[in-house]
Amino acid sequence: MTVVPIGEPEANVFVDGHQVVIRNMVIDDADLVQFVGTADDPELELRDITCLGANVKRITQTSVDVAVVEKQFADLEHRFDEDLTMAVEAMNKTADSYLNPKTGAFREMLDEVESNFDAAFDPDSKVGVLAKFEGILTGGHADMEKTIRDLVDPGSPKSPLARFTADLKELRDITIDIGTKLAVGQTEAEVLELTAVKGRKFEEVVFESVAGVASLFGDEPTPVGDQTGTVNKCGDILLTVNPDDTPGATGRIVVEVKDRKLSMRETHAELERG
Amino acid sequence: MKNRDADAGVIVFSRQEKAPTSAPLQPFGSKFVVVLDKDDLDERALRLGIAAARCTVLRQLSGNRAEAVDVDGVLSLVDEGQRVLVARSTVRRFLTQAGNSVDELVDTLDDILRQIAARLRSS
Repeated sequence: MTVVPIGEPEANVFVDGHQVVIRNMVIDDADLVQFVGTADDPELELRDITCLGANVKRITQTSVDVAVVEKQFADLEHRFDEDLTMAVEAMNKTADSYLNPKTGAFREMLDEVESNFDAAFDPDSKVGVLAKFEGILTGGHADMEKTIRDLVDPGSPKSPLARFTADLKELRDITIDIGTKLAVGQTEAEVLELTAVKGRKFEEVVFESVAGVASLFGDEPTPVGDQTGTVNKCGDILLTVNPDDTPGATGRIVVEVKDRKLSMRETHAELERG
Repeated sequence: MKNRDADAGVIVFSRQEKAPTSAPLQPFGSKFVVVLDKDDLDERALRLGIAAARCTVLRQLSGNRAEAVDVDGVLSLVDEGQRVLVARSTVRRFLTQAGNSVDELVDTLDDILRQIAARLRSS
């Protein structure tokens, strides 16, 4: 069969059912020209080359797709593995902080609760409390003697002389305190701001709470922060115990309100003074 | 107590860290140190402190007539209440810590899930 060159007609390629029909196509690929030009049957050769090309292209495309997907999965798997490791480490760390038998938070909590319960049922402590009560009951007479002795003892903190000395010291402390406040320009508004609880003074909040308890017992609470007591204005609330519970006597509880830090010694001193 | 001629005294601090004690209620004979946290306003320690102070006053005033009031019984309850308050504040502190840790853990897991979702979307 002789190959006859043709001009440059318009290409016409279409699919007819399961067949591809090619008409008037010119291909100038050197390899293709060589294969077809040397073939005994150029039409069969072209058919084979075309089918072979289609197969190669399909296989190549599939391989590329597979490679891309595999790579994506590998990346994803790697990242997920990293994230999972991080999550497990975070969970282990948190679990350890709670559950570690020696240093965990639950261990510490159990120890402290256990300690509190031990103290609660400590027989010695109980005896101590009971003994104290008994001492108060039976020591009334001795206390009375001591009270009378203290009244005339200048060294006793309950004696008028010692009280006068303490009052002078307190007056001096108050004077120094006022001087300090004036020196730093501390205004009343600033003090109120520091001691306020949602727009109210902390003293008012405490008074409400004390009044709530007092009403249960029929006691009488009085805000006395602005009233002078036997010596000064120490003591913020005075609670007078229901007279029905104290026949023939008057029982009083003084409540001191503090919105600043005090040491143990200062706390006891405040209560003594109040 | 001296200035107001009182038989017992209660000092109320606005925060635990301002008080010289580590518990919301700490008795010292006829003196009581109480904390009423001004942010929390849990009145239990104050109520218990007032009740305890009242008992000590009754104890002082009743003298040999102590049988008229079961002061021992009440003081015993106050004692128990005080220990419960300590236990409560301890447990509460740990629960707060535990809650914070759980919140942090949830945040961490949320972050991880968000990262995974973002990467899945971009893949």
